[in-house]
Amino acid sequence: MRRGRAGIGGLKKKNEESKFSKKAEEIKTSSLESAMQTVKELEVKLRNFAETHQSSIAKDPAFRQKFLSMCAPLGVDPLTSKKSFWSFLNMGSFYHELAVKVAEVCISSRSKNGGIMSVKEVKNVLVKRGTKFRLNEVVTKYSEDDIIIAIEKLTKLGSGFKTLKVGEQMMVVSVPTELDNDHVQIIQVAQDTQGGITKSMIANTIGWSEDRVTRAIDLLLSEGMIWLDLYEGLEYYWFPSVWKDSTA
Amino acid sequence: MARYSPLVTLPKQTLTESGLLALDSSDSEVQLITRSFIELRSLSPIPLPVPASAATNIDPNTTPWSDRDKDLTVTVTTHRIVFQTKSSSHFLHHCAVLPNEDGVQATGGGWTSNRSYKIHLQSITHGDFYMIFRSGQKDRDAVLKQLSQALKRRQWEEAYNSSTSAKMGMHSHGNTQTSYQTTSVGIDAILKRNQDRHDRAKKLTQDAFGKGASSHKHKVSKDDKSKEVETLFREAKELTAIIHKYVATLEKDKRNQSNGDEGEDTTELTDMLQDMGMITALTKKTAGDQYHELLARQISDFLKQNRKFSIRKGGCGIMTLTDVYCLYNRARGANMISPEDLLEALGQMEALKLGMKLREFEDTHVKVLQETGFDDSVMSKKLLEYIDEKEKEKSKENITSVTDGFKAFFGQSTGMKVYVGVTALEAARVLKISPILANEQLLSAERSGYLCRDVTVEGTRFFRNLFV
Repeated sequence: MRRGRAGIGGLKKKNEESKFSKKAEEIKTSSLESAMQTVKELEVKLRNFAETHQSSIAKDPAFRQKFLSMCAPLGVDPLTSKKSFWSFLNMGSFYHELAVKVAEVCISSRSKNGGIMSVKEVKNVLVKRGTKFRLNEVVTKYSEDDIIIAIEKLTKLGSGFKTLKVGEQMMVVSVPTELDNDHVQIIQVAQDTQGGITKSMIANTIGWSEDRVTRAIDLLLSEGMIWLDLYEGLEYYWFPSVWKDSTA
Repeated sequence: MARYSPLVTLPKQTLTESGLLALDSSDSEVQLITRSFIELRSLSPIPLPVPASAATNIDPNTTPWSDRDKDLTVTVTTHRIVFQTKSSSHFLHHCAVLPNEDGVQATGGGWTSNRSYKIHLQSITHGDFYMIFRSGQKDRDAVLKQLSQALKRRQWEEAYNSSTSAKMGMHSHGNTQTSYQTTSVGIDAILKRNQDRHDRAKKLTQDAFGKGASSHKHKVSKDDKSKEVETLFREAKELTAIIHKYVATLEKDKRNQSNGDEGEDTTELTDMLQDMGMITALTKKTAGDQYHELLARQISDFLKQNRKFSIRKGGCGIMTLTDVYCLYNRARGANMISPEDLLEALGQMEALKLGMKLREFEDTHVKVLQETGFDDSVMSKKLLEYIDEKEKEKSKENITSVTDGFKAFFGQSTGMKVYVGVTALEAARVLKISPILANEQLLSAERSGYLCRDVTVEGTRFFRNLFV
């Protein structure tokens, strides 16, 4: 007993199928049109906003931060490409220049700290050097958040640039080394101590076994991120990246 | 098999290594406009002479003269007009064009005769020409405008005058900064025009609402501004939610359909989204995108001149992307490119046969740009040579007995061999590349079996692989 496709009923069904697909096409085109409409609306809104607040975006880093963090969950990235409609904001150029300078600061201090340094220190170095940036022909102040955004752009280039949160501080890593949670915790201990620490001090503070501490310390040591100091028979480890008053 | 036609009688245009026009950067020559589908027709009653420098085997007596070259791409710069076919490029300098108003004239557009849109070009050196614009009036008018402006401005003469006076005074800035800089101004001219358009629009709105806005400025406090941000955020969020929904349905459709033709409508949408910076699954890889192609050529020209990178100039032929990014953007000075643009441009280099390509190392995922002439095994051999030399030196110093002392004195190798490894930092010094790259080279030499590593707290050293 054939079902469905036989006879007049079958023909009718086939007809309906094509009718459905036709209708689907229609709906799709209309949805496409409304999608484009919506995109245009969004574009207009964002553009209006950005134009009215252009100078605030240029001068005030906090406002700039808010604007960008608003764009992020929308999936809109004003910094992606030069030929996008955001180019009138000139934010791209500002962040790219910042990225280049930050990369240079990190690379030149690699011999001292092995490729990891705090964002605050990066900012201090830049401020000390007296580098100024122009955004929309306005010489602007830049904040640590700006630096973080610039670094995150550099991540795509695959040379290992990444940001790492250690306690309250944001650190920049400029080498391809993988740092896991253990390392982060140890760096945090160093941050709180602000001096040389021994393996037993770390083990007591966090509560790990000596082996675990040794493994993490060995990696940091071999990458050049920490210094070994033999003092009075004890091994102290120093972390240049967390020194609060470091002068580059 | 060159044709005997007007094109071959014009001087040849030099191109850069990656195929871009080699303009006179010392004279700040700049590209103004480029159009295609143009025919060059000579109006000279007798065949034009072939210059001796043409180096073709065209015999004016035997090869038939054709008075036209079809399907050319014409580029007008501040100094010359360049005519290009797929295989050759020739140019006519502006100084060869009749200097009065008759030098270039619009003609054509008639109803029955003289229908195609042309520019009548009168040159002192090669007689009269028609540039026939097969694509229509708009192109002809655009080119005519740029051409007449360039001719009126006579920029090549100004530069000459200023440079002669500068030479007498201070030092002339005849630095060998690469020709790429001029071409980058070419692209920037387009982008700058967009920028200027935006600026003008902004100025208009500001002027129109200026008086009103300035009185509001004091009143808009920080709170108001952040409130505005929040309202915008809310509205934008709703809109984006809708957009994402549509995009999702379109994506699903795309996956269900096997063909990719229906992309015509969606391409407009994805272009708009991409313009705003929203990358979805619909935005295809922009293969053959003109902007990135041009960028790729510019970057390759720039790097080929760079002493650290180009093998020909004494570099090592390999560089991390971060270094390329910093170097190139620094040289650019203004209008820097984004990392995404760099990635896109570099990704196209292999396809465009520009002599270098993107490469990602397997374990560490470090991305580099390397020249086609670069070879990992060359680096491995250099490392092995370095290790051997160091071992010889250290072995010589390793005097453990009197006989050893005598042997060393007479320059013979002593008995006790000292094995010395090489660290990433040392390798960086030897190979003259950055430590990250040196590490990659050591790792790849290890993978190929030349070296083997010894991991200690002091670091990782690589030794000659004696296990194989």
